[in-house]
Amino acid sequence: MSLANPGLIAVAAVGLPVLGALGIAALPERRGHGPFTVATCAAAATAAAVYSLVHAVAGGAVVDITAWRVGPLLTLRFTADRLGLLFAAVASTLWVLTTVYSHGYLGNGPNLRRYFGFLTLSLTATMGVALAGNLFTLYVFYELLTLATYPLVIHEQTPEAARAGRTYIAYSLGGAALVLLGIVGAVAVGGSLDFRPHGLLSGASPEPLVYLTAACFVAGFGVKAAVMPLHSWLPQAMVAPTPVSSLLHAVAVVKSGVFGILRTVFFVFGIGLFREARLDVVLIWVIGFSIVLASISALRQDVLKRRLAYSTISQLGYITLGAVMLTPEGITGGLMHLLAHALMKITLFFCAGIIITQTGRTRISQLDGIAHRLPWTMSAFAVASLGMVGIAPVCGFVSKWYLLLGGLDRYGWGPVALLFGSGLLNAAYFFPIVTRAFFRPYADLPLAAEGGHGPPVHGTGESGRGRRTAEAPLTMLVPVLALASVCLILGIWPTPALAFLRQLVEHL
Amino acid sequence: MMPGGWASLPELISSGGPPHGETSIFVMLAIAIPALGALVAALAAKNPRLRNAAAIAGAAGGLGALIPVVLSVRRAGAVAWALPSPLVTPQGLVLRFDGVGSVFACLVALVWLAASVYSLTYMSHERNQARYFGFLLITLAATIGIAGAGTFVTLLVFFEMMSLTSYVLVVHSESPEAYRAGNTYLYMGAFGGLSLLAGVVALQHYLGTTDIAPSAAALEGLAPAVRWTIVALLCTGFGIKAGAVPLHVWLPQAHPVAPSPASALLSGIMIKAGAFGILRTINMLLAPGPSAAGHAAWSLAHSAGFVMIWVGVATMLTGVILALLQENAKRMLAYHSISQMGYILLGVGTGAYLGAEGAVGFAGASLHLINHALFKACLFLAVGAVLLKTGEVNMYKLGGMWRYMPFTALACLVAAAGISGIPGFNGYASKTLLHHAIVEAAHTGGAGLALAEKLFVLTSGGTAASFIKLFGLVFLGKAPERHRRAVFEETPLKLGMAILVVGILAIGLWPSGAVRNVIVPSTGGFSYDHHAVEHLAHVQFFTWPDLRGSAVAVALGALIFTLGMRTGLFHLHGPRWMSVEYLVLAAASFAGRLWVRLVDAWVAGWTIVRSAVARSISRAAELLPALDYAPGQSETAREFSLLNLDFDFFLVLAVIAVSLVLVFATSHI
Repeated sequence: MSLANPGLIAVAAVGLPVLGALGIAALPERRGHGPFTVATCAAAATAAAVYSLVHAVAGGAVVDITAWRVGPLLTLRFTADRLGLLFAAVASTLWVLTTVYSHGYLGNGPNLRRYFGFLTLSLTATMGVALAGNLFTLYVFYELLTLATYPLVIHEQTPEAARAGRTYIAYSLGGAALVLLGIVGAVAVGGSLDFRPHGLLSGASPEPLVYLTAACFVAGFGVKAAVMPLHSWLPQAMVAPTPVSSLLHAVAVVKSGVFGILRTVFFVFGIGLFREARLDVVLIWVIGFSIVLASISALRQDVLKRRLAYSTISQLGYITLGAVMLTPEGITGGLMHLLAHALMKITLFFCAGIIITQTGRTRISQLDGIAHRLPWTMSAFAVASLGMVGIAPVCGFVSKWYLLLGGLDRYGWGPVALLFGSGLLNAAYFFPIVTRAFFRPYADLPLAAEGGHGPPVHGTGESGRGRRTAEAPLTMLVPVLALASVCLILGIWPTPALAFLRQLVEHL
Repeated sequence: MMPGGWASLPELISSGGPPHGETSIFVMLAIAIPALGALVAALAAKNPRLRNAAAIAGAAGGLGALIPVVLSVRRAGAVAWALPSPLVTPQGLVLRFDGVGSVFACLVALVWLAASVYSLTYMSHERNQARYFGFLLITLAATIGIAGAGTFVTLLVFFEMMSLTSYVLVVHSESPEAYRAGNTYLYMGAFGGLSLLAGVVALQHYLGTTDIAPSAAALEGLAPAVRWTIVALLCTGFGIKAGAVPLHVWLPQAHPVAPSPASALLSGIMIKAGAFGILRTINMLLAPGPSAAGHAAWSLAHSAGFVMIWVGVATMLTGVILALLQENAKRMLAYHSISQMGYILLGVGTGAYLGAEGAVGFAGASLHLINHALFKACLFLAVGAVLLKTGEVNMYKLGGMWRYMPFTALACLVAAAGISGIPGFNGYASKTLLHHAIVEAAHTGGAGLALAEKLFVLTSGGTAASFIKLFGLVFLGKAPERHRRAVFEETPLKLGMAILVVGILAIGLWPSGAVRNVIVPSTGGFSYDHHAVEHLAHVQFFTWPDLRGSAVAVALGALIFTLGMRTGLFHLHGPRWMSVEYLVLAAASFAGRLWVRLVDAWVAGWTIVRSAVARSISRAAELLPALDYAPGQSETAREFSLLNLDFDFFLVLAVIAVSLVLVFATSHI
């Protein structure tokens, strides 16, 4: 790299969206493309910064910068290792697409300045979580993420949204408080806050305080990762506009919870201590239940976005499961799934959003023959669904393959049985949507506006009735098709991703 | 240094390795041409001529590309094409045709070509033709891929692809009935796919490779329990597709609702992919390597073969009994597909059971696999032609059609003779080999397998009865009033059937040639005894005991037919609880109800806990202000407010005091 200190790029990746958000706030509140343009540019610039970091780190650079000393122990420190960069790259890339999609979804709706401002601010928080170099930094940005996404969740400003927002805040802040307790425990045992390869606490023995710390971290980050007893904020938060749901579910919020768990497992406890304390076995049981129960719950949902939400809970379990298997294959599978799930789930949500705006339908039972109206959208949906079930050549297959291998490696046939059952459930709740949309006659339902809110419905009404297809505007359709293609390309040619993950796993 | 043995990170990405045998680009083209044709056909929705041309060119091109492949296999034993690795799976995709694979691929492409030609007429008035032809060709690509898979993971990828793409063919009509049948097909396919995935992953984990012919040494190192588990998982996955009882439920639903040429392919070819997989699994994973000698090495194959023989017998008997009870001609053919798959499984079973001497079982199974593809596809095309021209598929409402559709009648007759095992038609050859195999197994296996041999003859009788019935009811007798009109049999319809009729007659009239030139070379990859294979090349088919066996079966068939027609036995319907489907659905609905109960109980319990927590929090919130801020007014606070201090201040003092005590107590001064 030509730049003397790549650490500055890390700071830029975190700081650029703040500038963007400030810029949006400074814009006059009027209808126009201003907030959208600034938000897109900020997201694109952040993504560029992250990719240059990826390039620098691949070239052997060490990115580590202390931005601000708050006090002893408490420093804002940013490092860019491969784990953080994986998350940062996924998030920032998808952010650009989500911003573009939001423009199509919200159209000329109200409060666009607030929406795009907080959307951009949330990117800062996510980048901060990804590039945090110590527990303090991670904690600060983890809290900021809750606060920055809250206005997005309640964007519709309905009583339902307000209720969901309250639940979201209560759960998230409670989780963050637990994380804070965990940090205190980590300092008490290890005397430091910095992430270290092989673990900050690697020298410790499995004493009660270590178990307590682990419980705090897992429960605290588990709230955002929606591990099963702590999940109920997530389906409620579905009242948010669909692009926000996609971000919440596919990228920023839930993945930051998962990422927190990964960080603490690998860089605070370390694989050795984690294994010695037999925490891996405990967590595999917990997550196994979470995966199966969430899948069964998903089966029972008729509202499309809610079904996707429960699917998220289940699929996040795959990522955590892979990570806590602590075998190279398992970790590779988990991290591959972090990438694959992000791509597939955001595709599914974007499709759900298109269905809502173009036809006004929110329930799966209303989707008969919808593919005749939205052929491209539903094809993308079908591709992502296949990936979710783990069918080659969509990217979900590769992650599932490694998860199965990793499970067999240390834990026998149990994880295989778990993934088998879960795969069957995935098929049972994803395939009906696809088959219904493609192979049932189109039903021209009279749709009462449910609740009387939500985005403007573009596709129905007098003008839409006679036309054969009613595809979404390009700002929505292009991100969807691009993402579905990436799912396929990554499935067919997983080499670059696997090579990156191999390096990552070797350095853990 | 990593803790816990992390230093030795296994190779996460395989390098693929040099393929053995020849390499030829035609291996790749055999799959790529149909796939390309699919793309063109699907995109040419507005241009029927281009679409039809792409459909035929795709199938014909696939077949054409297989010819050099077969020639290379003859020369070198196997032919491969190295793909960049890792493609699609972390272990990459490996394309390698061996003897069995190339024969199966040619069969697939030939029958596909016949069905595609036939489809030109059959589908010409249907909706969504571009989708139909597109998916028809992509399914062809997947099926050829199955034949040419060099590793189990490649096989898995193509197998799943075939399952899913053929689903679109099953539900083509988009009727509620098709949709329901399609669901059964799809979800059982998904179950099978997952079962395969688990087995293949286990192979990768325990052997470090998923090669279709793993080294004998690696296999020897596996614990028998692991080997059994893997084989059971793989056989479940393939068995669903093969329609093995009790995994056959989807088949009689899905095959009749598809458009007839697609039914022909589903019944003729795609279920064979399952049999092909079982053939590979049993022979490659359970049989010892060529170097191993003695019976001990074959003991696993021996026991698996025994199980497989009985699965085969159960399948053939169930299929034929249910077939006799059908009125719908296409559904009857579907049940016969189950029954005929039983023959193939029986052959695979005897092959494994007889160990090194099992070449005759293998030969019977693989020849029957070919034969069944030819005659069953032909039967579906013939019945489909009748359906197309009369709109009727109920056998009892048809009759006398030979007058109006002579070519179709002839094709149907030839195929029926084939499936009934009449000398001079192809089924006779394979059934003879299978009969030899089961007799040989019965010699070594005692009374149990002697019973299996009797059941074999009985099934052959039932099959003959069933096809006497089909041909008699549909083509002979008097035509009903409304079907008495001239029918034009279009050339594509005739051509499609003609291709298959030629195949049936060629094998039927020259069985020893077929065995010598097709079956014997494909034993190459397997570890059968040299003499057993040698013996195979010199089997005489038209000997008195075998001819007599065929005559017995046909006579038995005539008897069953007469009895059935006279007594109304063919209209018998078993009680509902006897069907596997009913049992599974009942179990599923019970589990569903149980789950709902559990969830309700959980929700109720959780609500109680949550409201209790909420109540105590709000109580605490009410109490706290009572303690605070208003010492003058609160009784409780007054008790605490010593010396008339504000309660806040008192609290602050207490906290400081406690902190000081803690600091001093812990600092060891």
